[in-house]
Amino acid sequence: MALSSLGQKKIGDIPLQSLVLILAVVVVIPWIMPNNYWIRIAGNAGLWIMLSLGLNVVAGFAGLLDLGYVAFYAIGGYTYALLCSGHWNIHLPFWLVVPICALAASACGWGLGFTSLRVSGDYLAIVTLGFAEIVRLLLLNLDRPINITGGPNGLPDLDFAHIFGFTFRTVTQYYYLVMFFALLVILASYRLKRSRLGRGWEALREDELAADAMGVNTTYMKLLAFGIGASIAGGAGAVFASWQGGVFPNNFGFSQLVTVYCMLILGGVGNIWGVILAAIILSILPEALREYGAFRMIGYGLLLVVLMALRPQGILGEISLRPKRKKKEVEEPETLKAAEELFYGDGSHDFVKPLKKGKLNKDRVLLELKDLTMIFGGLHAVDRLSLKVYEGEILSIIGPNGAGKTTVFNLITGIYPPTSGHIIFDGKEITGLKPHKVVEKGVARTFQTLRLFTNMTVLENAMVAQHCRTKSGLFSILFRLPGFLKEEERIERVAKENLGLFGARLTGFRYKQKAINLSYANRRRLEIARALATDSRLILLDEPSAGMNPKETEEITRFIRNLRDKYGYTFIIIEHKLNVVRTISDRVIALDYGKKIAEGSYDEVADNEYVVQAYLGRKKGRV
Amino acid sequence: MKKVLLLGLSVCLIIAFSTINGYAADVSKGLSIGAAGPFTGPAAAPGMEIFNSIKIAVDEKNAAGGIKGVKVKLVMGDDAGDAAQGVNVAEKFCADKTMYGVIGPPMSNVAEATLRMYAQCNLTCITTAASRPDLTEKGYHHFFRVNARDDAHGPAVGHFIAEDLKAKSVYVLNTKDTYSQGYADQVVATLKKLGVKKIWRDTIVASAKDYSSVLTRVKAKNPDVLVVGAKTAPDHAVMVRQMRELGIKAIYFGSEGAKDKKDFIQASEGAAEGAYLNHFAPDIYKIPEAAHYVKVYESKYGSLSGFGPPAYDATNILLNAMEKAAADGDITRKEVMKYMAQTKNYRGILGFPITFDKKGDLLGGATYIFKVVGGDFKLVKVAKGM
Repeated sequence: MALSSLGQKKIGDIPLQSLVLILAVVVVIPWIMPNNYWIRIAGNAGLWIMLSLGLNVVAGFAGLLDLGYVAFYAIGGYTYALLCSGHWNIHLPFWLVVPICALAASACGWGLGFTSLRVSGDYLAIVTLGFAEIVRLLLLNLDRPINITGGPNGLPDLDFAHIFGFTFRTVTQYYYLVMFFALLVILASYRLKRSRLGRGWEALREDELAADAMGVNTTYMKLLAFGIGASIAGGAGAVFASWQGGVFPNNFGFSQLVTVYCMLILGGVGNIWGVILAAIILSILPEALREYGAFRMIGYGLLLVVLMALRPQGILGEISLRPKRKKKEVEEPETLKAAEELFYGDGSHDFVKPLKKGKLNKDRVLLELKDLTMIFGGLHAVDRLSLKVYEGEILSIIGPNGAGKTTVFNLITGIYPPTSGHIIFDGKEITGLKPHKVVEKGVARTFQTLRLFTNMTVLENAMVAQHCRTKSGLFSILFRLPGFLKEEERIERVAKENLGLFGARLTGFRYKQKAINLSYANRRRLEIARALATDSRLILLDEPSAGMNPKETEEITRFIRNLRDKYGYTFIIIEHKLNVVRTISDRVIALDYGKKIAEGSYDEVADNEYVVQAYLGRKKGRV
Repeated sequence: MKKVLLLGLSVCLIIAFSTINGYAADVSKGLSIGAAGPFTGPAAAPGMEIFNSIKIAVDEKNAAGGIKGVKVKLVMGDDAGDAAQGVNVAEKFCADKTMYGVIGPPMSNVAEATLRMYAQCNLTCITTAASRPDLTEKGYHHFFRVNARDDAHGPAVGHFIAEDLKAKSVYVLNTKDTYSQGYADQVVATLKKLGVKKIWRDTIVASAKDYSSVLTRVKAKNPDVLVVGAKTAPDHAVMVRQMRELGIKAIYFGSEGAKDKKDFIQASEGAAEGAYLNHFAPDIYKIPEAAHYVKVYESKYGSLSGFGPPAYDATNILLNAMEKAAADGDITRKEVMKYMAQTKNYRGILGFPITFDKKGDLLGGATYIFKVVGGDFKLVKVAKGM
């Protein structure tokens, strides 16, 4: 009972029971292993766990295909070798050198990240691979004119790890040292994954543009991922170097990189427990086969292929550590009935504050566009567009396909910097700001083609939206400072409240459902909930009712109006269904070829000659 | 006080080590020897030649009744040429209580990384190819080698190039690995000492399929001799072929790795004709004592490149030492080490007597220089005592 209550308090941390279990296993292993050889193998598994979890941050969480990872391992190892050996006769203490190695590797990681920010996917892979090659060649060739790395000979005879008068010599002692670091890394990755940073990375991996538009500073997050991954590799390199008692260039070759990636893929990218399990399997397996020469690698490869064929999502795939409770996949009839009526919320929310009467100033301009122009090559997608949106207003933008409606949204939210013109939000210029900055100011959007973070759960999708409203840094996340815990609680509450606006459609068992498993209409709803969860005042909805049946369309229409009436949100809506536009809009603007051709109430715009022409073409005989 | 404590502690540790690792056992509990080396990976070809030769020697011993009637078990420890894996192998061999000696590791970096570990568990190592000089300079007593060191071949090759080939200008290339780098360093140092003025150096990438860019630079200098230090025969074959294609007239001098009839001479499609190379063993086909071994090897595993014979001899030397150690029905690792060091004038199949000096190095090893003539290796010089 005491255990579970403690676990309850520490939301999102490793369950205490699991931690105790892991610790027990780690402590017991040297006692049950037949000899030193197997203890060393176990220690090696610990090193591989560290390495693969470090890569898991970069490639698993953030989805950056980093092929230069093993270079950071090398940097860590060689830094240790230089600072703890007779090579230059520097003998720094171990506890000081490991952080130095991690920092050195991390600095290189930031550097590599910084130079390769503009590339992603395959190109990133090539750039990072190039980096790894540079490091490898430097290690091989920096033995003259001054001998730094020892060239192909490497640097032998390194110091034993020495901490406060205790020297680690035997295999068992080193095993415990390695495992200590491995546990630290496990704990750190677990905590990182369940934090705003972890969710930010996953959002980045799922959809970079949407992540940016939801307030995740993608540039910073990428650099952070590179830096953290590299520092873990650097620390692992230092421990490795100390244990091996020497570093050699071919300790850090392409084959090691392939092995780490195998562990990551076999374990299931991003899945911490899976990666740990894969690291253990793949580091022990080749040892078990060591006596069989060429058959060793054949067997290893074969097993890898079989495992991947059986479990393409990784060995642990969808299995989580704790057995899942049976969940109701089908909504109960009552719930379904309730969901058919619109759920308005009961007004008891803290964050989505119901509107106080008279607070809304309908004359106040919330957003103003001045002569906004966007030119793609020779095409004027938006042509000197000026408009004003008043607080609490619902403004619809209509126009035929290609009229530039979505481009206007992209300009407001900062996805494109405009060719010329100004965007003023709440009296402040936001022209040219990056998307995540625009969200911070209070403008959020949905996308015409749904851009949810499909492999994250419904709740996580909404939680990502709070990224720009929270500040917890690495330090407070890793040490779970009170500030972080308070923030986490707040994030979850805000997310749940906003999802709660949609009633049973997005709450209850749906919290834990992946976005990819939602129905189309529910995905639309989730996008709106996600935009609301950013705490923005102006919401841009790009075809909110697309793909919905008439009933759902009516529901969403009333829902949007209700959000305005009750909570005071301001909306700009792009919509093709004219009955939606008619019922919902305070004002309508019609665009054609990037120009505003009509503005006014729905009836005024609908009767406008130019609008009719734009939709239906010119009447015969008229010029 | 502190010093006394520390001293006491280290004495305790040493005693602990010697008692833990000084396995003294009845021979009948089993005898095994380990083969450590790169049996997979890029160096698998020479690695497997070494392993097969060890196997022949062990099989012969067992066929003759083993040691004191106990069959010797051969355990493979594949390190793929990676020091990190070599360390695992060492740990495994150390932990094997029936193991009394290790053949290998043949690669210098692996040998370097595992030196301390094998020393700690008193396991005798006899390498057949690791030629980095400082391996035997660290004061360990468990490490022996039947091959000459880099600093033995380099001077011999330098002298041959300066004095026999009378080269005035030499271009030296080497791949970036311990062996080739040390070799090139020694050749260059000797050439300088002998007054060769025009020496150029460059490094190349191992296993590349195209060396034309570096060879273009070589061509511009027009040297008399091109020395190439590279570990594997295909590298030499590519190099010598492209060199002739580019019309470079220099004499080609390859390091040990080039001595492979199939992968060097035949693979170069005639370009190797007239090239020189050095090797630590004489032509195995010309030694009468080796005839039986060659016949057995070729009938079982195909052609020999030169890494096999020393491994065969090394295994027999180790088995002899084990036999002596086991003479009283009891055997310890330390005994094996002791009898190894006493090896004197062992005449195996290498054509020269094997004696170890105090450091474990081969006493009076020679460098054999061959020339490719008519699609085969022809011994042209034996350089001794460099």
